[in-house]
Amino acid sequence: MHEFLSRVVYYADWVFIGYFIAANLGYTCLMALSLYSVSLHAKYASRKPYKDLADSPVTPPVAIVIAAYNEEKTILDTVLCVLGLNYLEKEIIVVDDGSTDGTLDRLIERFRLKRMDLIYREDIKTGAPVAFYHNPTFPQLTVVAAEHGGKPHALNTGINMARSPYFCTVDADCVIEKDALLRLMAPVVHSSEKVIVSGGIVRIANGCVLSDGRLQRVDLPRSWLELCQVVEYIRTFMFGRPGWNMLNGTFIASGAFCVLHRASAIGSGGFRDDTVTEDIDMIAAMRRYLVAQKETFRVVFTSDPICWTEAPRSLRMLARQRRRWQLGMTQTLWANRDMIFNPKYGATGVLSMPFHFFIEVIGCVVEALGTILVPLCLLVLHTPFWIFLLFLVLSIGYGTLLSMGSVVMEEITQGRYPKLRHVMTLMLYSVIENVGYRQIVTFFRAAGVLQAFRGRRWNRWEFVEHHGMGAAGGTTELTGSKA
Amino acid sequence: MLNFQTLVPEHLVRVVLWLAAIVLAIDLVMVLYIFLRRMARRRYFDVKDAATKKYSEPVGRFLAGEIDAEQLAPLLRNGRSRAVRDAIQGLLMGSLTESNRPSLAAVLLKLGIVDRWAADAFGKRRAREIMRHLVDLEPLPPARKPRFERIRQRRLFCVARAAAVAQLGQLDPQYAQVFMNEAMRDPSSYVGRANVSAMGRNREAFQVTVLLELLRQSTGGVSHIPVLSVKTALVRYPVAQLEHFVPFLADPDARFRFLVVDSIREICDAAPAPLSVSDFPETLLRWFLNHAPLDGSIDVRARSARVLRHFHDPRATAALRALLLDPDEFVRLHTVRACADRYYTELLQDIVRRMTDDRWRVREASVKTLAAFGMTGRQQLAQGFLDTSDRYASEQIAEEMQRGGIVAEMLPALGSANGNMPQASNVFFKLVRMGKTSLLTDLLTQETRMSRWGDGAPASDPKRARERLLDILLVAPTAHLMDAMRTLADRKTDELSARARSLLQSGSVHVPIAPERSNAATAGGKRSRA
Repeated sequence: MHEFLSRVVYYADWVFIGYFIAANLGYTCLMALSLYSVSLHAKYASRKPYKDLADSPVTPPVAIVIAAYNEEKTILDTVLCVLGLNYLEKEIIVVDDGSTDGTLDRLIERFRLKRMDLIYREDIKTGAPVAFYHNPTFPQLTVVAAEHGGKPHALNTGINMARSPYFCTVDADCVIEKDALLRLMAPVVHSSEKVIVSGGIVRIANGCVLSDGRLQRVDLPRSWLELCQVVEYIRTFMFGRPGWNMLNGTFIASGAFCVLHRASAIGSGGFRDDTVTEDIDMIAAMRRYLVAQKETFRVVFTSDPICWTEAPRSLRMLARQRRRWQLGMTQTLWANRDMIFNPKYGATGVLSMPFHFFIEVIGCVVEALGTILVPLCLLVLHTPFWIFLLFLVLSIGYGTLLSMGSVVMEEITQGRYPKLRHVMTLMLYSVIENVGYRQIVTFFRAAGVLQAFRGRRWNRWEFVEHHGMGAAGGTTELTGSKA
Repeated sequence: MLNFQTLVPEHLVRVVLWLAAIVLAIDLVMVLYIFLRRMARRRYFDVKDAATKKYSEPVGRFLAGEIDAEQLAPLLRNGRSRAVRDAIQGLLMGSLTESNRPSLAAVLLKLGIVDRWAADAFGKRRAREIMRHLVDLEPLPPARKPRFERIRQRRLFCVARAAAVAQLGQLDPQYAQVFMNEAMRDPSSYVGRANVSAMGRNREAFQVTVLLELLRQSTGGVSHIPVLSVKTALVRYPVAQLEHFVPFLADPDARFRFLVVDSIREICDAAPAPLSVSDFPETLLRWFLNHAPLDGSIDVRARSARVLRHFHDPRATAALRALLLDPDEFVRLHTVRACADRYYTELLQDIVRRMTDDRWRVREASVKTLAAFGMTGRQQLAQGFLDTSDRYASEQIAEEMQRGGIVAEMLPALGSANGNMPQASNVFFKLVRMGKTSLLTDLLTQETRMSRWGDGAPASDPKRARERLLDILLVAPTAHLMDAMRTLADRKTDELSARARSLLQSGSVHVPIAPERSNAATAGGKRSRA
C-alpha cells in the first residue's frame, strides 16, 4: 500500500513539475516578447510623439465613465484628476450606483451641481436613472444617480449618456497620470485598423502622496503585503500583457483604466452582469461581435499610460479581491469556451485563451495542490529531496527571476520609482513575494476557481477598504497600513 | 518500497542544483545591474547639467546674435562624452524657432550632429551621399533599393531611425526637404509617421502637396502611414496654404475628397482670428460655394458647411440656408452646427425650424446653436420652446436650457416688472407640465441673482421671483418639491420659510401617486423618435 502510495505521489509530483515547466516556458516566451515590446515602446515614447495629439482636433473625443459605489473618500480626487487630464475633447460621466454613503453629496457639494431632467437614450437596456446632476460651470461633467444595480449596470448607464465615439472606464478610486489618456488614445489615432480596446497599466498608489487628484510623490508602502502587491502588479503589467499585445492576443485589459469603442460596445450588448469581471467579459463579447460582423479590428495594450489605484491592505481584503478576480476570469473563459482553440479569433483564440484557461485557471489549482503535496510528501513519504528542490527552483526560483526581471524592466523603461532605495526594496520583495505571498494568493485564486465551478454568486461590486487618496484640496500620504 | 533512484537519471540532481545556482546568479546580476545603472545615470546627469550650465552662455550669445555659427561651433566642439553631446543638442534644439532655424542648422552641421542623425536614419553610406549633396552641392545619386526591407519594417530596427528623422525634420527647410524626401522611402510606418509629423510641424508650403498625395495613398490603402497621422500633420497648416488643397477637391474618390474638406475645416477652425472671404483663395471659394453643396458625397456636403461658415459672406449664408434643407440628416446636423456664429443671425428662423426636425441629433444641434447666439438666440430658443407642440423638440430644448444655465438665468425675470416676465413664467409652466421640475425645485431653495434675461431692467424683487416659482411648481407638486419646502420651512431666515411652513401645515399640497423618478429622469429616452 505504501509503495502504491509512493508511486502515485511520485507521478503526482511529476505532474506538478510538468505544470511548472509548461507555465514557466509560457512565461519565458511572454517575458522575451514583453522585453522587446516594452523597451521599444519606451524608446519610441521618449521622442514625445504624443505632443502632436494633445492639441490636434483629429484626436477623437472620449467620454470618461466613472462608475462609483460608496466611494466618498476617493471620488473627488478621481473626478478632479480626470478633469485635469491633458486631453482636448473629453466628457466626464460619473454614475453613482445608489451609494449609501456620501458619494453623491460630496460631488454635488464640490461641483455645485444642480439636479436636472436630462434626456437619456437607452442604447443598452438599463432602465431609467434616478436623477441627473450638472453645472454649466463644469460643462464637461455630468453626474447620473442610478438605482443600485451593480458595476456593469452603472457602466452601461454611463455608455448610454456618453456621446463620444470612444469611452474610457475609470475606477472611482484611481488617479491617472496627466498624459495617460492621450497615450492610451495614441494607438487609436495611429492604427490603420479600428482599435476597439486600448488598455493601460495599473500601479499601486499605497505609499504615494496624492494631492488635488494628482500624484505628487511616488513612494512605496511599508507593509509587506502591499509591497508584495506592488511587485506583483509590476510583473503582471510588464511581463504579461505587453507580450500578448505583441502577439495580438490581448484577452485582458484592466477596467480600472481602459478605452473602448462605444459603437462596438453597444453592438455587443454592453457590460453583462453574469460574470464578476465585466471588463474581461466585455472584451471577449466585443471580439465575438466584431468577428461575427467580419470587421478587422485590434485590441491593444500600451505600456505607459499609468493609472494608480489603492490596493488591499489586509489579507482578508486581498483574499476577497483575488477570489473575485479568479472567479470572474473562470466564468468568462467558461462562458466563452467555444473561442478556445478557435482560429477564427486569431491569436486570442489559439494562444491567449488556452494559456489563460490551462495555466491561469486550471494551473492555479494544480499549483495550490503542489504547494501542499510536494513538501508533505517529502516529510511523510520520503520522496527524494531533489524533487522538492526542483519544485522550489521551478516555482520560487523562477518566479523570483520573473519578478526581478520585471522590476529591472520597470527601472529601464519607466523609472517611476525615483530612489535607489525604492528599487532595491522592490528587488528584495521580488524574492519575498515568491516565498509566502505567492502561495497565499495561489490558494485564494484556487478558491475562486472552485467557487466558479460551484456556481457561487458574488456581490456585484468589488469592495476595497479605502483610506483616502488625498481628499480633494488636501494632501494625503497613503501609509499607515495595519496589515 | 519503490527505489526513486532507479526511476531518475542520476545527473538530474546535478541539473537541478545547477538550475538553482543559475537562477541565483541571474538574480544577483540583476541587482548589480540596477545598482550600476543608477550610478551611471547619476554620473550622466551630473555631467549633462554641468555641460548645460557651461554651454548656456555661448549658446545664449549666439541666439542673441553676438556671435555667429563659425564662432560658436569651436566653442561647443570640446564635448566628447554622450552626456555633453546631449546637453549641447538639447540646448540648441530647445531654442529652435522659425527665425533661427537656418543659423542653428549651420551650427548642427558644423558640429557633425546632422551627420550623425543622417547616419542613424539612412545608414552611413547614404548619409555620406546626402551630406555631400547638401554641403558640397554634389548631385544626389538615386537611392538604392533598400535591402532587408521586411526586417527594416520591424519596430526593433526602426525606432532609432524614426527618432533621427524627427530631428532632421526640424532643420532649415533647405536641408529638411532633402532628408524628408529620403525618409519617404523608408518602409517602416514608424519612420513614416515621424516624417509626416515633422512635416506638420514645419508647415512648409512645398510639403502640403506631398502630404495630400500621401493622404490619397493612405486612403486608398497604398501607403503604410495611417490616415489620421497624415491628417494630424495636414491640419497644422495655416489658412494661407489652403490654395494647395484646391486641386485635390476634384478627386473622384469621395472618401479622399471628404478628408481634404475636413482638413480644410480643421485648419479654418484653428485659425487664431475670425476669417473672412478675403482670407481664402478665389478658386477655393468658388468650389465651396458652387460645387460643395451639390457634391454627391454626404460627408463632403456636411463638412463643407463647416468651411462655408468661415467665409462670413452673403453667398455663404445662401449656401448654408440651402444645406439646412438637405435631405440627409448628417448634412443638416453639420450645417446647423456650422451656423453657430453671430454673423449668421439672418439664419435664426431657419435654425428655429430645425428644432422640430425629425432626427434628434439635428434637434439637439439646433438648440445648442441657438444658445450660442447670445441673448437673442436664447430668447428665440425660449420662444421656440413655447411655440412648439412637438414633444421631442420640447424635450431637447428643455435639456439645453437646463444644461446651458438658461433656466437659472431666467428665474430672476419672474420677479421683474418688465416685459420678459410673461415669457419666463410661461417657460417655467411648460417645464412643470413636462415634469422637468428638478432644476426649478433646486433653484427654489436658492437666492436669486441679478437678471440677465432680456434687455429690460434687472429683477427688482428676488422674493417675488421665488414666490412665483413656488406657485408654478405647486401646479404639479413632486416629492422633490416637498423636500425643498421642508428645507425652506426649516430655514428660519429664508423669505419663503413662512409660506412653506403654512403650506406644509395646511396639508393642501399633495404629491400624485406616480413615482417622481419616472418624470425626472427618463425624459425623451425611449420616447425619442430618432
